[in-house]
Amino acid sequence: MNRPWLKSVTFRKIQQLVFFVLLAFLLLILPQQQKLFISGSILKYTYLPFFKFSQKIKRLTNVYDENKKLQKENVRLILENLRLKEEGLENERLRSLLDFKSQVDYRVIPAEVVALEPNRKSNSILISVGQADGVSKYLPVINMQGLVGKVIEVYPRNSLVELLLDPDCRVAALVQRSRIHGIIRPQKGSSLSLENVPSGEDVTYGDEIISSGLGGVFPPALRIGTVVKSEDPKPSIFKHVLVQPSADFNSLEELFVIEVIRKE
Amino acid sequence: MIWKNIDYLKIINGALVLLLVVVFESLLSDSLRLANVKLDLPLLLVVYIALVRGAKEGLIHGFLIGVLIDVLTPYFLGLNALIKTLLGYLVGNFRETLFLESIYSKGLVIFLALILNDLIYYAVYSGVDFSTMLEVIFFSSVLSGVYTSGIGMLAFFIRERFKLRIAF
Repeated sequence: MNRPWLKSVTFRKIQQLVFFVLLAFLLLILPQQQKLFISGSILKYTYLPFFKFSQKIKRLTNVYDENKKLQKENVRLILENLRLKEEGLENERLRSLLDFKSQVDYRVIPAEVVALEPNRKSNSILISVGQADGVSKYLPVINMQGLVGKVIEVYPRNSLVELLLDPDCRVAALVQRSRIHGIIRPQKGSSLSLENVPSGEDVTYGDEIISSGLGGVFPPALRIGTVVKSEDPKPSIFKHVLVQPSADFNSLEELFVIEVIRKE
Repeated sequence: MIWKNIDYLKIINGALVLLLVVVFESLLSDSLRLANVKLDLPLLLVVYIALVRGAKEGLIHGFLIGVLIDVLTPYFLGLNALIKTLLGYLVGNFRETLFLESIYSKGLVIFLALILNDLIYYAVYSGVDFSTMLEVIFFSSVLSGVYTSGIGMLAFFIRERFKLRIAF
């Protein structure tokens, strides 16, 4: 029989084939531990530098995408800022037309939590600023998330702050969206309730609750929390509105005492 | 002197081929997928070298490229090396005996080599589970074979059209 492809098969070629096949077979039957060791060693000097390079490229691409997103957000915020400035100027003009005397500004005193007040079961905290820093009684205290409480005692270098969770604390508040007024009171645990809201009023899940400024202690528009439950219990003439505070009272660290400065 | 007989150009060629495999597997394999169909560049290189330079080069490159692919799945270390060594040898022998002047016949050899490679690999991988093997062959290997042999034919066309002898 004529098999032309067999003519090119020489003994030397067979030798080479057998050598490499045996070598591959040897690798195949190695114990798993040794396979891992060999693979790891080869990977380290071959693929690893390229994998690292690939990761760097991916990270750079992510940074680029993030940068693009932030640039868009920046432009949006610039436009919003311009609109708010315009509205601020318009507000000022309208106020002067209506002869409104006072406008508010804030003086901010940064503070840190020094200690929890043991006698009051953590509903009060001691902060690192006092009389020497310009703190006085009943000034509101906030953090980056929202309203925290008010100063109830002032010492030369420290102050005692009553938290919103204190049973004695009340805040005049309103629903930001529908402008419904109510009173914020603490509930058991670390939630609040918006009280004195008549049944049938427009308060729904997710509504933001802010201070109304009524009562004189807390200035208007400080964020208090978000409505997590709103229902009309039948016999009652008031709504039952449960509010999740914006501030996390379990991790209070950096606070700000704010003083309202009324501009003439 | 022994080093006087060493063909340094062949060693550099071989190193470049291995570098190409590493760069492809670590950086390019995902981006060169065409509608999720994988380009099997390592196998294409083995077949290409075997067709251009013969059985000896084919089996050596088959072994080395196979080992490089195997280190990515250490559990089957040696399997790719074994299959690609045999494929490199077989294709190299065919090149020396059969009429393989046409680019289409070279494309067909690449396609068949890829199917054979996947058939053996997944037979061992799945413990000769025919349903898994057929699924892989029909849904992945055939398309990958078409894509890879297409690229292979293009490479042969460029090589012959422009009389390229660089690297191979």
